[in-house]
Amino acid sequence: MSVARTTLSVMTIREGQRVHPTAATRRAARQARVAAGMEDLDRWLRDQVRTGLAGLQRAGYGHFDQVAARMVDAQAPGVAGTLRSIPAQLVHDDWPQRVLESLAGLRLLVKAHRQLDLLPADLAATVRSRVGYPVGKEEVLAGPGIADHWTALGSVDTVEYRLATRRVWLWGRRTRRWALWLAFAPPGQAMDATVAAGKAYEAEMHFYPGSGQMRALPGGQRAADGLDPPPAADLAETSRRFADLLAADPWADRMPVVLAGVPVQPRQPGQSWRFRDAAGRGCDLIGLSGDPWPLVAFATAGPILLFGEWSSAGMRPISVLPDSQGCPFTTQLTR
Amino acid sequence: MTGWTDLVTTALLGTDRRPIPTPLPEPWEAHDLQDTDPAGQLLDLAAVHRAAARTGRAAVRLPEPPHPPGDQLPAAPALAQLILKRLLSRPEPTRIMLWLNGCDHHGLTVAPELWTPLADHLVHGDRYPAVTVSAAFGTRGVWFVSQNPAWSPLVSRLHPPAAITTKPVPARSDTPANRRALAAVRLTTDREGAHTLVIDPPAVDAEMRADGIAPDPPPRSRLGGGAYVVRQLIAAAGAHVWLDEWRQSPKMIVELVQQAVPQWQADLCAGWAAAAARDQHAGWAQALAELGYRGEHAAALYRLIPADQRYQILQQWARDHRPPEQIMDLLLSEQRPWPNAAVSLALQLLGSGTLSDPGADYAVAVGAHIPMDAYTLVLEATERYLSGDRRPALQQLMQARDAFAAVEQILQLRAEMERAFTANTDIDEAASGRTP
Repeated sequence: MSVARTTLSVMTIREGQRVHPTAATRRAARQARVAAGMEDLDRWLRDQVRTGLAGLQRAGYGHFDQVAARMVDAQAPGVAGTLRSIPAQLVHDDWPQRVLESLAGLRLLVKAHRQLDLLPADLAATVRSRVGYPVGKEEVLAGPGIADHWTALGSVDTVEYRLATRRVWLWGRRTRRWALWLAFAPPGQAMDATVAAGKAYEAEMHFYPGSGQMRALPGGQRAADGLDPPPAADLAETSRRFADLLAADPWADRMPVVLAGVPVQPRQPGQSWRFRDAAGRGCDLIGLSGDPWPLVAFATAGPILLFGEWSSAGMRPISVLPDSQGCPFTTQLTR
Repeated sequence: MTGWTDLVTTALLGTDRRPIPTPLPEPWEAHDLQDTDPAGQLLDLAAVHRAAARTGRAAVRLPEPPHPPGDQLPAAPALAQLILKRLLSRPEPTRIMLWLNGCDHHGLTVAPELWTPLADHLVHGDRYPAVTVSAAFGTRGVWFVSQNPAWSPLVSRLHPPAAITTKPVPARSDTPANRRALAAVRLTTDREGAHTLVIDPPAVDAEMRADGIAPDPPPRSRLGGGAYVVRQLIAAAGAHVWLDEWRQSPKMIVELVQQAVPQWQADLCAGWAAAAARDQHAGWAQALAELGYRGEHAAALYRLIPADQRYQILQQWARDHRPPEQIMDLLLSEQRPWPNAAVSLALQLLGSGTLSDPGADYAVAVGAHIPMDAYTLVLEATERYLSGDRRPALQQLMQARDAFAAVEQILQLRAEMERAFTANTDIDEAASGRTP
């Protein structure tokens, strides 16, 4: 028997005339396909900066869709999603900087994937997650759960490529840990409302693998009383936390945060609304669907507790949290 | 040109046309370029920048934003707020007016979470009395409305907040607030007994600022600085202090102001109205009502006057040809079924044809105030007050089925509001329908 056939007999289970590869075989084969796709991506990335980015604004969505489709074929859907998000940056005045940063992030992912087997297990899991290796729900739920009183502080609904996504952020009162619950729905179908903003649950959260990963699945949750937000942070502490997150996951885009402060109106048309903390530092409020006059109303009685998603561009406000001055929980933040 | 800008320019042009600069600019000067391909080198340098840029954006220092003034009366209970939220989702002026009147009647205000939709609704509706709207927003709410240029039509109709507190001022006359007010508005009497009023607005010093006296009126207010300071000083003083120090009744003081300093009448009376509302001073309330005062706190002062005298005042207003909408709105602020005198007055106003926009709204609201056993008065008043050319309007009013159905809805809303304004549930119980 040849070496190849010996190897094959070690790695497969024969059943009748059909050969069923083991899980390890499937993983190895997938990793090889993804690796090939990542090398294809690297060549594409180099081609962009070799020939110049100047033509991208005219190239349109198709230019990115083609390479994204190849990444889907290579079983790297995470990479495909990142590529499909790049055209939206072309409308900004500073699009060359934004696009180059996005391409650089993909380059970093390519290089990390090349050394996947050499990375610490947590970081390797994060790289796989960013590339788009699937992790089954059953596998996640079979892992250890963290029991706590979880408060759902806010949610964000988005639609990308005809798939509605809901992000719900939860805070664990005893473990002082954040969790992210994701739900998906095709267009026209109702979203899973298992976890709703403004509610609290006693549950075991099972976290997806990876450093800096907050995505989790609830196991056996039941409704609980009492919204228990985390202590409010200031902007200096928030920046430090975000740096720590990026050290664990260099591809993270956002981080949940609770800030105490007041909104500040733009001084001139075209400027951003800002949020000022007690230390006098301010950040841009981003992702607003209108002027946040309700935030100004709440802040007439004093600083408010604002929950949102923090990114390098600023804070996306999501909800106002109850405080000692009688402010209620609300997600109606704009006029 | 910074290193990053240089790198972006190279990426735009392409490494085939423009090489990576050497030596490497800051901050990459010590970076080890492992890739031999310039395109790969550029991407690796961009990745280093990306990491630093995403973590290193510094928060800017911002100046402290403007603060809203002073205290705020408590917000209406959660149940009542939910009713207003429901009314604002499909606004009908009569129903919203009922809610605002009920809020004012109970000495409450609209909660901040409803200020924005309420302002959006009111900005184009000038039939709402400014006094009731101002009371509903409260001092902080009026300040809030003044912050948005889009609401400037509403701001111009509202009364600027006086620097009042919710605590009664002590009865002594020698408090700093009382001394300041008496120094700003002085009454002198010559040997012949003739009175002279001297109005002398002071500059606002640090002690006054610490006590909540603001030197400048809110943005887009029509008041001058001196007038605004005088209003605040009088509002902060005790309502009694003028009677004690000047030994004059409120009626005599108001008449003196009309004669001696009519240009200050509006500002002085606004200050006394605020003080009287806070101190529940019926004497000032009656004097100002007889004057025809319609500024901030007028509705609250009106309710301090004994009921039989209230209707006499309104009847005098009608004889003096004061705006009928003002009379009608005060009548409608009465929550109880009316006595016959009020019914007759309301029907007289309805039948006079002088209401600027009678439509069916006033008729429905009036109907809701009339006790069932007084409907014979409706028929008598119809005969007595309406001329023949009012028949088309009467036909509209007398579409009994629609009118009674509308009245029934108003009564239902009023009953719901009465329970809501006195309920004690939190917002979750209110939203879930769980009420004690």
